[in-house]
Formats: sequence, structure tokens, C-alpha cells
Amino acid sequence: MKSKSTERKLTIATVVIIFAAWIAVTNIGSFSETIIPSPQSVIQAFVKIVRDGYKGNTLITHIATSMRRLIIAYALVVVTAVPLGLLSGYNSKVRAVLETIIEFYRPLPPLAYYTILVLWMGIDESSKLALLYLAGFAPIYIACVSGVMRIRADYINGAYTLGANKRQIFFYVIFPAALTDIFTGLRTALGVEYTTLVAAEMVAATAGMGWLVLDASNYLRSDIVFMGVIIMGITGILLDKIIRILENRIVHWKGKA
Amino acid sequence: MKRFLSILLTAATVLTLSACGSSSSSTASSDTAASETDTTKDTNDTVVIGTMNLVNADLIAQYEEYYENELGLPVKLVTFDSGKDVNTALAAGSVDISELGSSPSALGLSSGTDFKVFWIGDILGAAESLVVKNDSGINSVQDLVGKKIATPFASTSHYSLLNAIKSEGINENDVTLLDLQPADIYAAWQRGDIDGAYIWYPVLDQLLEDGKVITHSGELAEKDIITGDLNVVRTEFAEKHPDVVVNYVKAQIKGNNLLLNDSETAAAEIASVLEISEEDAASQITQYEYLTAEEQIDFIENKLPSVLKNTADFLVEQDSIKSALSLDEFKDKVTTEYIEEAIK
Amino acid sequence: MADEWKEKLYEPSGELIALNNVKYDDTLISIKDVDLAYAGVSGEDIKAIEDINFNIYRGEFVCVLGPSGCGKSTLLKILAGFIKPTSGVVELDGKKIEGTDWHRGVVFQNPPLFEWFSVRDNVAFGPKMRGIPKAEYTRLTDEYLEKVGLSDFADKKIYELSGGMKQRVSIARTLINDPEILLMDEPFGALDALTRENVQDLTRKIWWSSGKTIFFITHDVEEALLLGSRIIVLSKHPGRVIEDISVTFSREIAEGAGTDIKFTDTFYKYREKLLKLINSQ
Repeated sequence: MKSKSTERKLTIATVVIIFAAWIAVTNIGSFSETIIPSPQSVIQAFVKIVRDGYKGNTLITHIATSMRRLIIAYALVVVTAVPLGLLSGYNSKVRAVLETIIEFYRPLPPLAYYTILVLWMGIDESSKLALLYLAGFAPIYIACVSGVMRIRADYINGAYTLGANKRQIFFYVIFPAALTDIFTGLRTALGVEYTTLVAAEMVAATAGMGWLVLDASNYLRSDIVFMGVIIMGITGILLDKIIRILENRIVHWKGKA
Repeated sequence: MKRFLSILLTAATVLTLSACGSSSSSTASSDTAASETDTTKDTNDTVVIGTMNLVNADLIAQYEEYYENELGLPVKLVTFDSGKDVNTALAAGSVDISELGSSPSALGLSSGTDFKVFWIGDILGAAESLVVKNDSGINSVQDLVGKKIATPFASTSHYSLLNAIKSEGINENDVTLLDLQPADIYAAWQRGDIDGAYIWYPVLDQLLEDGKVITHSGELAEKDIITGDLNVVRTEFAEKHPDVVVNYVKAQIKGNNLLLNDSETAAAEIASVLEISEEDAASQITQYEYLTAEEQIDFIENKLPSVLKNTADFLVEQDSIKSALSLDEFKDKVTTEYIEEAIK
Repeated sequence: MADEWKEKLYEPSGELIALNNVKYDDTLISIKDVDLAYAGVSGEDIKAIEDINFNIYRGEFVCVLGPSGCGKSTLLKILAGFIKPTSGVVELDGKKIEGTDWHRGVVFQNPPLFEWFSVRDNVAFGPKMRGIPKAEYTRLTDEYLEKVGLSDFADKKIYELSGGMKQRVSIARTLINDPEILLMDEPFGALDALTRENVQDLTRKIWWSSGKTIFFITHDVEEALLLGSRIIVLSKHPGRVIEDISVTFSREIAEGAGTDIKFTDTFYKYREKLLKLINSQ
């Protein structure tokens, strides 16, 4: 318990030091507002955007638009990548088919194939969702495959000798045994989707935090860029926290074996 | 925390660029031994020239290798994709002289970046056009109401499009404007996701295969909505190396002379740099207006400050930038001294 | 193999092998000419076990002893159906063993208990999967939890249990299926001495009171003597049966002799002989 509070203090100290350094650097005045905007002007930008919105949309709309894209794509990823990943880990033939595709596109930067997605799916929501979907799919899929492959043979053999059939083993043994890895994948995927959000909102978006940051950077509005980045950072941490809480609830045995 | 940092780093390219800039200059300074007592971060041994490969004298200068041979300092040529990147690099001090569109120039200056406009690469004519699909039923700017038009935001095209709409008395909110990069504009056009676009070569030519021009920047210029490509220099660099800037202007003048007097050779040279056909290059050249040195002096003194002022005011109106410089301040940011020196 | 030390077994009662409750006319498993080879690094065949021939009779507590690497576990895996012998046949009740099923329950050294289930759900797993009605398997679960002394821990999480308790859960969830034979693969090897004695007692009690057939792998001579009704010794590389004897210590303890039996001369003699046999490998 004691060490936990020490770590907490360290975290807080880190944040405080970063802020202090920020204030110090900007008030000494050796950098222009474009390079490092002062905390004051970032706060002013925040207040103004909360009050007046940004380019036709309120801040809440921008955040909600991005969150909606993120959550829809994420939900689609979870309901497809988890079963396919588990199945691939369980069945080498399924793995042979899927792994090739995923290994191929996974290292590609999203921007490299975004234009193709736009060609296929248009400039509306579907291509943005597809980009986020593809970004999130690989980490969860890979985590699920390795989660299944790491399961000790004894678990599966044991279940067979207790009378379970293949299907039962999949649902009662493989799925729960891979949960720890699945959650690792879920968290990685969220991070990757989050970083892809800016790219996704590069094309024909009129709202969203990624677009807001991009558009502001077009006009050298570093104060707004900083504000947007900070908001994205905080919402990212919150989303990650939600998944962690879920993980602790569901995978209650993690780290306690 | 880790992710937060990574997002911070990715998005704040401004910081990254400035870091790159200072690291490259520090490696350069190690070459110049200890004689350097000057504390300014500039090193004296290179000039970084930015280009956007715009169809003007800059390409001729590249072809003829004027930069490498005639500036009086070793040259590092950097290609930028957009005015936004040039602005970022200027703010970070990692480019010394560069091409920059009039809109990004107005916004860069208004954002407090210290540079001077000393040459006009070109005035945009039909090079940037509002093109719509043949079957879109659009025949004039008036017909844009309720339609989807794409353009890269914060570009000169964006500025021209917004002004074209405004000058016809149409409310901007009645037209759906989409922020798309050129390649994506082509994709969206192919799919029929957009009705039109305000865009430049080469996507413009591709769209014209089944599209038509409603208006272009040349027509708008007649209504005093002038856009062009300017050449700018960081003030700090100009004060230190006025001779380099003068040599740069001389190179532009030579290029301009070729464009104005022997457009065939000019087209061939431009085609070679851009790796496009000579016909394409030749037709490109006709879509810009190039000013002689004397015309430049007149334009810079009498027109350019108000062009920049109008542009900046418009950006303020659009809520894109916080505030614009005053007309007098813009007058301070343009200069004819290097052209005058060059033609002495 | 008419060793003097083995002869002794027959003497005390005069009846020889006092039967240990074993029904020698009722063969449960017959192992015939079983070999198992696997491919080595350079492709050559490496034999893990060779020429294994013996029967397991209903009610026997067979302990297989051998130095590490003698293929004891391989033999168990073949009986469980996890792997197939390269040649030879294993039959249960005259039917060839192919694949796994719940008639042969396995207790592993590291019990692969399902951490995502409670103790109760782990024990109930077998009958539940086999489609036994809920009322029935709930009753059975309570019964077997009681048998292994874990009634009070029914709703605990697996990670809240000690090593010994985990092994009890493992035994209970295997027994609940009422398998024909219990295959135990060095189940107590990782436990401390005290806990070990404890679960050994439990295992013996179960064997003696239920008449269940048990096939038990161990490398601990004393454990084999204290538990088995029969001890089979395998040689090293490849594993071959080099000794097969019947002992009565376990029965005697079950009948009330107490574990002090291990301080008797006879026990000592057996232990020395077996140790010598194993160490000579």
C-alpha cells in the first residue's frame, strides 16, 4: 500500500513538473506562441471554444463525433477480431488464411491505404470507420491468437478427460483462458485506434477532435492544437481506464495465479 | 501516460520540427571550428531553400542549378507539400528562403512568424479552378447552393472558393465544403461523392476529363481577390545574408525571362523537373501570370500589402486566426530592396 | 526374478500377495507391446518407451517408479489417450483406447484448474459438460467436495487456495465423473512434505474405500511404497519395465496400521532395494 502511494505521488509530481516547465519556458519568452503556446493562451482557446465552438460545431460535438467513430469502429473490431482471433488460435487452417492477410496490412501506415479506402467507400463515415476498424483489428486478433496458443495443453487435455467436447472447450476453457491476452489486445487496439483518429479525420471531416487539431494546425493555431491534444490525451486515458476497470472485474484472477 | 505522450509528440509537429532544425544546425556548426563566437542559432555555412515545385521561375532555377552554383552559400533544397508545412518550418527556423502561397503567407505573418515577402513567383490564373461535374447541373457559382464542393483547407484555393461564394452573396453555410487533399479529391470525384472542387494541377486536369470550369483564380483576381505564390525569407536570415537573397532574386529573374520570352524552352525544362509531358508543362505556364522585375516592384509596393491584408482579414472573419496584422504592418513585411539591388 | 527381498512379500500371511483388494481375474487395462518413438533433432527415431507389456487389474493402485526421463509420463499420456503409441495396443475392458474420454480421469502435477470458475464450478465441470441434470450434479459436487474436505471452500476462487487444496479440487473434479481409472501424473511432486502426506492419505482412503483403480506416476520411492498395491519400475532411456512387484503397506495403513509402518525393517528393505534399482540406471 505504501509503495502505491509513493507511485501516485510520482505521477502527480511528473504532471506538476511538466506544467511548471511549460509555464516557465513560455514566460521566459524565448519561444513564439506558434512554437509553444503559453498555458494561458491554451486555456483561453479552451474557454473560447467551449463558449463559441470551433468552425461551426461545439466542443462537445467535436468530442462526441470522434468518440462515436471510435466506439463504433471499436465495437465492430471487438465482435469480429476476438472470435476470429480465438478461432485462428484454435484452428490452424483458419489461422493460415487470416494471418497472411493481417501480417500483410498490419505494418502498413494507415495513410498508405486510406486513399484506397476512400475510393472504395467514399468520403463519408464508412471509410473513416473502416480505417479505424483496420487499425484496431490487428492488435486484438494477434493478442487472441497468441492468447490461445499460450494456453497449456494440460488445460485442454484436462477438459477433454473431464468429458467436455470441442465446442464446450472453446467457450468454457479457451475463451476464458485467453481473456488476459484479449484484454491486452483490447487496450493496445484502443491506443492504435486513437492514434489513427487524426488520420481518419483528415479526409472530408467537418467535426471531430482529430479534424480540429489538423485544421488548427493549418492555421498555425498552436494554442488550439495543444488544447485538442490535451483533450485527446485525457479522453484516451479515461477510455483506457474504463477497459482496465472492466479487466479487473472480468479477469479477476489475473496476476494472482 | 505513454500514449498521451505519443499523441502529444505526433500532433505537435511544431516541436518536432524545431528540434530537427536545431539538431541539424548544431551538426553543421561543428564543421566551422571554434571561430564561431556568434550566439545566434544560425550557422553561416548553408542556406535552406524551400520549394513547392510550383510552375514558375523556381523550377527553371532548379533545372539550371542556379541555386547550387550562384547563391554564394552551399544550398540544401527542401520540397514541401503544402504551405502549412512551409509555415511550420519557417516558425521553427528550419528553412531560410521558400515559396509560399499568399494565403499561408498572410496567416504566417499574422501568427507572428518573422519573414519578408521579396518576390512574386506568380499570380494565379486558371491554374486553380473551380471545376464541377458535367452532369452536376451547376453552371455558375450561384448554383453551388446545396452542393458538395471539396478543396484543401487553408490553401489559396480554399481562400478563392470562399471568396467566390461570398462575392456572389451566397451564405457559406449553404454550400457543403469538404476538406480533402488533392488525391482524395480525385477519389471522391470518381465515386461521385462530391459535385465539384476548387483545385490545381494535376488533379485539376484529371477532373476536367468529365468536368467543366465554373470560375478560376484569374477571374477572381479581376475582382481583386488576388492569390499568388510568393517568395519569402526569414528576416533574421535576410539581415545576415542580404547578398544570398539578392542572388536568389537574380536566379528568379533569369527564370522569369525564360518563361516570358522563350516559353517553349521553359516548358521543356519544367517538364523535365516535374517529370510531366512538355504539352502539360506548356499549358500550365499559360495558367499563371508572371511579372517582370519592374512589374514586381510596382505590385509589391502598391498591391501586395492590401492583398495580404484582405487575405488575413478574411481568415480572421473565418475564425481561423486570432488577429490580422494592420495594413502598415504588412507594408513592413514586404520589400522591394532585393529586386532593386538585383537589377542595378 | 526370484529376488530374495521380493519373496518376503509372500510370507507373512502365507496366503501370498494378500490381494490388496485387487481382482486379478478382472483385467481393466491391458498394455501390449507398446513402443513410443519420436523424431530427434536430426530426424532419427528416439525411443521414449519400449516393449511395455502388463495388465492393470480392477482395484489396483499401480505406482510407476523410475528415474526422470524414463518415459513414465509418456506411458500415462498413452493411457489417457493424449498420444498414440508408435506400435502396440492399449485396451480398456477389451476395447482399444483411442483419444481422450472421461472414463480415464487425469490428475496433473500442476493442476490445470479453471481460474475463471469457483472451486464448486471446477468440481461440477465434468458432469455439467456431460449434460447431467443440474440437481444431480449439484448434489454430486457437494458430495465430492465433502470427500476431499473442501466443503467450506466451495465458493472460493482458485487463486485463494493452497497447493494442496488445488490438488484436492483436481482429484474431486476427476472423481466426480466416476471414471474407470484415475491417472495421476506426479500429482504431489510440487507439494511440501506435510501437505503431501495429507493428500497421500486422502488418495489412499479414496482408493481403499471406493475400490477405484489408480495409475500413479512418481519418482519418490517412499511415496510409491506408501500408496501402491503394486510397483512398476521403468528403466532409463528407453523406458522398459525392469521390476513389477506387489506390496501391502498401503493396504495395511488403510486398515489402521498407521504410517509408522515406514520405520519397519520390511519397509526399509523394500525402499533400499528399489532405490538401488533406480540408481543403478
